[in-house]
Amino acid sequence: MKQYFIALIIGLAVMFSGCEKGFLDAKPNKALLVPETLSDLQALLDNSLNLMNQAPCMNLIADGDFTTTPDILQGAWSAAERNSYTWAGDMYEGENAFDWNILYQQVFYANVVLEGLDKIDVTPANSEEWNRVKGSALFYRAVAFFFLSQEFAVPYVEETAGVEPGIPIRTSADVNIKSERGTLQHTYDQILADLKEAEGLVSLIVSVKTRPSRAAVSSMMARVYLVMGKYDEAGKSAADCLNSNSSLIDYNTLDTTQSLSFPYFMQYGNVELIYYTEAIGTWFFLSGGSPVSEDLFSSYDASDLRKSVYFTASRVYKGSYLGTYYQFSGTAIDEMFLIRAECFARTGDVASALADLNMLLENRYKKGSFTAITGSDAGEILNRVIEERRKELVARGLRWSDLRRLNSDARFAKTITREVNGVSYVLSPGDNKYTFPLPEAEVKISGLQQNPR
Amino acid sequence: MKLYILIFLSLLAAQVNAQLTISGRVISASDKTGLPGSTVKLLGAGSGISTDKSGYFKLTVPGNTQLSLRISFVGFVTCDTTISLPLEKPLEIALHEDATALKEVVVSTGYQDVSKVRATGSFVKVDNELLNRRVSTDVLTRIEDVAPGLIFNRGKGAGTNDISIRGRASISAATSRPLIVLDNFPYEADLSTINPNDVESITILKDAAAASIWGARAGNGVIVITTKKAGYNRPLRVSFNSNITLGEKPDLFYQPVMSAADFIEVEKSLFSKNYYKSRETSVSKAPLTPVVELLIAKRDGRLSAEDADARIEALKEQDIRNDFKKYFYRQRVNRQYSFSLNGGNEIQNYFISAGYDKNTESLVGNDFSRFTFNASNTFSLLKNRLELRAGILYSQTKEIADNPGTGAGVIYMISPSSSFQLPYARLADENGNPLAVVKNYRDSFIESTAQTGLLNWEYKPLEEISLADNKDRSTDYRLNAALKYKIADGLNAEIIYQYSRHIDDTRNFRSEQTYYTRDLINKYSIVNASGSIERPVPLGGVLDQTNASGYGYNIRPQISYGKDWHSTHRLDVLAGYEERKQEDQSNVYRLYGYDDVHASSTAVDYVNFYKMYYYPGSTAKIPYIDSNTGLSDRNRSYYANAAYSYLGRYTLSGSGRLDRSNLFGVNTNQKGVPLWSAGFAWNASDEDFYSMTWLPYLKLRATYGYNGNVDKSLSAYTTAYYYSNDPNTQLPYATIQNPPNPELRWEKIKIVNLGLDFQSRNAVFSGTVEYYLKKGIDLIGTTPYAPSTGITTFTGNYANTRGNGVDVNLTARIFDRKFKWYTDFLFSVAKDKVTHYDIQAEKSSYLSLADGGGVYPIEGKPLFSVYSYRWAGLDPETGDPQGYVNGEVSKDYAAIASSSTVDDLVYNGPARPTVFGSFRNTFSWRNITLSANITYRLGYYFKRASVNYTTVLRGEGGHGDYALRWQKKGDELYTQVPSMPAVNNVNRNNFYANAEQLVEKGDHIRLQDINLSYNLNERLLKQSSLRLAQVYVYANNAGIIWKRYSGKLDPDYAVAAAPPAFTLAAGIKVEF
Repeated sequence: MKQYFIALIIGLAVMFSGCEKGFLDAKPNKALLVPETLSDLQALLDNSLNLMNQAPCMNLIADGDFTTTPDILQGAWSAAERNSYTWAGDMYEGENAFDWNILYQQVFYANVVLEGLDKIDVTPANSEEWNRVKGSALFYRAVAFFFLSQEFAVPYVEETAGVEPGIPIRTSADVNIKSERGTLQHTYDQILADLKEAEGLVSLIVSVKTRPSRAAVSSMMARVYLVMGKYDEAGKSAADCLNSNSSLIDYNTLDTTQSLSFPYFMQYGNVELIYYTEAIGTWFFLSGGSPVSEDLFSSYDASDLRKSVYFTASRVYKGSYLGTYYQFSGTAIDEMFLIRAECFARTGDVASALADLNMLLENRYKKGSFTAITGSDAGEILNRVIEERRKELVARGLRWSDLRRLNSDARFAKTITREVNGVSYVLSPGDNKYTFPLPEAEVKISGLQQNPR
Repeated sequence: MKLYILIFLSLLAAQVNAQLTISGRVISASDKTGLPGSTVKLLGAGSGISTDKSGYFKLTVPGNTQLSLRISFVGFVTCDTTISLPLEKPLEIALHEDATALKEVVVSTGYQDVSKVRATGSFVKVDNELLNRRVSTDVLTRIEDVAPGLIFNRGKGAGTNDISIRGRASISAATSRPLIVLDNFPYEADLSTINPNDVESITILKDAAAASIWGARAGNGVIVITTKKAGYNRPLRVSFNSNITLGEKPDLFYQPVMSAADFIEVEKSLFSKNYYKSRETSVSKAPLTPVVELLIAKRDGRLSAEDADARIEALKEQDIRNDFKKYFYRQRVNRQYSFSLNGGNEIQNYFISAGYDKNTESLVGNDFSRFTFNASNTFSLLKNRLELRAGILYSQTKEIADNPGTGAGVIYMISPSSSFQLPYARLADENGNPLAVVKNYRDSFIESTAQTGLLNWEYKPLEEISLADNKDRSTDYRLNAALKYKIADGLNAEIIYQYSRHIDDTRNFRSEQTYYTRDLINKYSIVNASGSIERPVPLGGVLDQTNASGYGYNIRPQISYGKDWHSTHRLDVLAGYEERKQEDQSNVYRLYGYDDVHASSTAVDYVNFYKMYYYPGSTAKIPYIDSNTGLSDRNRSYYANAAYSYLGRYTLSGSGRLDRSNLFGVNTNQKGVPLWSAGFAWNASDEDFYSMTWLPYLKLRATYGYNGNVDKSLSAYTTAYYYSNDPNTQLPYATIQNPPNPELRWEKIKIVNLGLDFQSRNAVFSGTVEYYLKKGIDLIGTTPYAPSTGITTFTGNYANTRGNGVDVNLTARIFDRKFKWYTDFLFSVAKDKVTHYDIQAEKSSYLSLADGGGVYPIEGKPLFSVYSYRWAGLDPETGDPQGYVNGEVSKDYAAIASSSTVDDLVYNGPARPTVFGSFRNTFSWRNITLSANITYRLGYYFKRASVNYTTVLRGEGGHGDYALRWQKKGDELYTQVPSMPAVNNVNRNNFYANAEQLVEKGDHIRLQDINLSYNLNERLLKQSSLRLAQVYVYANNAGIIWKRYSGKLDPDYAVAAAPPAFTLAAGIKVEF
């Protein structure tokens, strides 16, 4: 009898306690996952709208193409947003530096994915996906480093890149590794190395443009080489990209009466769009109260459709390739034509430069009103390409890099001035203010060298 | 070996043959219930036996005709009796309670019942009588101010039922609460579901020896709630308790605010400076106050000057608080009914209770009701070898929250984003008809929409109460089963199982008539040129539903062994295994265009942006709030404890527990370092050499050990949250929640406890004095990380704290005759300081939030502290506040703010009481008992609010100190409130708001409550065949007796809108 009851108690204990293996491995929260499969890692990279497809926003406010009112500045969502407009010395006033934090978060995600991949064996069955995920992670990391270098490191000059400080290059997800600035050369080397490796891994075609395709990698390389002043390579990369696709939208087909000129890209597509990323939202743009500068607006010809496609009558921007109110900062075919055209012009191939330029502009002018540009002076053509770059690629997060790059060339150097509440602000070529300060927390904890302002 | 045992047993058997067996029962003289575990000893023979769970015993005796027996039981007068054999019927021996003897207090740890006499740890038991001293809907407040070391935190940042036991050892709020155990298992549901009438007692486990059986959950102490049970061989008992509590309306005038007259004067002055000019043409239709509208009408000639001025003057007489008091509040009425039955025979006992509570809250439209049902049945089978118990605890609550609260009178500004209460707003006209108040938009804009076909855009707070339909229903039940088998004498095997389930549904239906819905529909509406209206948010109501449910089980097989060897050695051992699983899920969803009659709704477009009707410059998506969560909490624990006593004088105890959980990573789960404790107790008064006859009981205790704490929000792995679709790509995506932390582990609290228990002769005085030392190790804290790592802060086991203190509990029987006067004095000291913390926050955080608004630890200081700027008084010329820069008196507020570091701030002291306790006096004469509890809280500071000119100069009013401001030379002699500057200076305001002179000492003494009860006397009870009949009156929140600070505020409620209102309850209790 006694034994019977002891057995019963033990039996009950075993029965209820559910001795199943993995009892303690249950996720404390269903939405929580420990990323370990390829689809988990892909899901991290697909954190698109909140993170991975976000681009910096301060440069768009600082680049002088758009103007605003004190009211809008007062309502700015962050100190960085407000201070970008006047290139203030203390940009963040103790607040977060979103451009820095979000982009480094992208780097962190990419590194988590890359380290996660190391723990997944490559098999014939998964190799295509494995490669795609790895290539994507490398691409996102390179893009983040590139965007960071455009705001937080000095413009690239080959001669001094070995001594100028770059941005911290983090290639490990271990948050306990201390950041160091390294050299500017190291920054660009890493960006190019990541892109080159990604090129052989990513898919040729992607289902959604939030993910990088082979063309996206080439287009980004073209952008990086251009910023570095390596025009041969830039032209070659742009050509690589255009070889796979060179469709342009004929702006004559767009309905300029709509509040947004381009249809929502995710739903209706945008043939020119190669890789999607958008600038972090700011009140500056989303308020609808920051019109394009008068001089840029008036630079468009009457028959230039871009004037009415990009802007309302009151000069408010409505031409995002995304078909939303957010600023498109990814790469597109038109940019590739302009990069290639510029590189041709700089290397003296006037005919090819003109072919590219005319090809683009034909799709931008009212049907029948465009007469092809002719000429033989490479300098003149280059001038026109640079001019068209500004007009075509307005609000695309490229102007700031262009200013930094072109200001060293007296032909293209620009001084930007602003006035807010009766105070004038000036940004001269080569000004230290072309490099934004690092966030205070970074200087304090990592001990990084602050940029002079 | 076996052979010897056999020989020994056969010898015993041989002796038995020459003996007789007598049987009987030991009962309590007062209530005739059996006394389990009393000792029946045969004098002269040395043999004795303990009675069983019903008080029965069987004793083998020699065949003498006359025998002397000694029957004893702790807490009762020992009885010697002589019996003659043979017995005609079984013996019944009634013992009388010994009022002066040490009470046999049994405390429950949730795992076992421990006799306090043999305990080494720090236990506090709040017995049924003390629990019932208070009248309340919930159970937890009943231990307030009656348990040493336990405090209900009030003041800034404190939540409801925010309990600290011996101070707070944890930094993270997620781990700072004590573990609450209901009977055997942790109780993590809403405590308001427990009916206090079902609770027999509450035990508080304070030190490592008492609580370490709870391992990784016990770091901030454990509160064990024990429900009522029945007993064997007890006749049916029925008891009924009912009471009604009346509460005053809260004091809405408690916090001083700027008067309507002052407010209007500021508005007039701002108007004259064209302050409102830009808002008049605001693109977002920002609201303007009635006075400003009148001033505009006067300026524009739409209203005559006299007319406008007269209307403005009339508004000066208005005070919205009067309207709130009149229309929003009522007297609170709480009704409580409870009924129970219990009884038992030889083999079975039962307890059944039902309770109903209905509270009419003081806010009109808000209600709370609760129904509880509790039943348990116990069977004793196989000659008392097997005990089976089954029970159910069921509770259903319903909460109605239809009142928008005093926030209803608040005006919201979109830009600059701020909100403020308009002191002269009116909720109703003279006849009580609801009036519209300004809320989100300007009156003229609302009027302009009247002709467009949009819904009425007016906001009438008073109408909203009856339009609202906001309910929360929750059901909670627990099924318990236990099986206990006596393997051998003293050796028991037991298995306890509990299944629990809760369902909580919140339904907030805001019909098309409510302002919320009308506003939402209108905001998104598109009025076409033709006048037709498109409504992206459809007509109809908005229904928000939250459905939360969960289930869990606990199972605990355990083996216990307890044996007494000739009263010389006593060993108690307990070992077991426990498994716990709790799964919770909830989903939130919203339906638009909801028609409550047909339960139909309309689909909306969540994807596209829509222009806001009131401000076409801005766009927004239709709010999408649907979400799902699923949580899983799994634990496995192994535990054991043992206590050994020698001669009843020396007790050694040890306890250990190993926890594994799905929160910790493999590292922590497998490393397997148990949390443990050890203790020693010495009943010095039992020693032969002990000679202090005036103090017949003296016991010394010492314990040492570790308890733990778990933060469920953390994980050891790189964890990510999965989301079903990205708004852009519609693909699933994931976000990283926290970077890997392979070293994540539970917090460890090391506790040393030294205790002294004593009782004088005749129990004239008795008490306990304890000293403790607490060290928090590996506490969860946050440390800043360089953002380039991808994270800005990291939460892990970073911080350390240290605390120490004293708990004293003294009881004195000053008079103990016909008139009785008993005094209970509780005194606690609880000091803590942070010994290691990495993060340095902004100085402003320490100034404005470290006193409880957040957790901003500074090494060497208490966790919650008050910091301030040094104050140099007002400038006699200008009334400007003055501080110090580098030791010099200064008015350079920017320099004051920037030059001083955290170390330069004045540290005023702890923000939470460091000395606290109560002084309870109970008087009884005949059948009347009066008990009053005086409580005190000392040794802490609070920062009071004062006027902030930022809001004043924005025309948004502010603190009532405005009236006391410096206005002319000489005022500095009477006031410390700075003058109003011509232009707002944020640094000046911040300096004043955080200056030393606004810091006050919190020390105070209050009369917390009074209980007066009358019991029907024995004779009348007998006549009416009742066991008990009592009527009682209870007054709570009686008032402050003394406070150090001279102002009007209650130091415990300095930041609250109002302190708890005085309540008066009356009730009746009957038992038969």
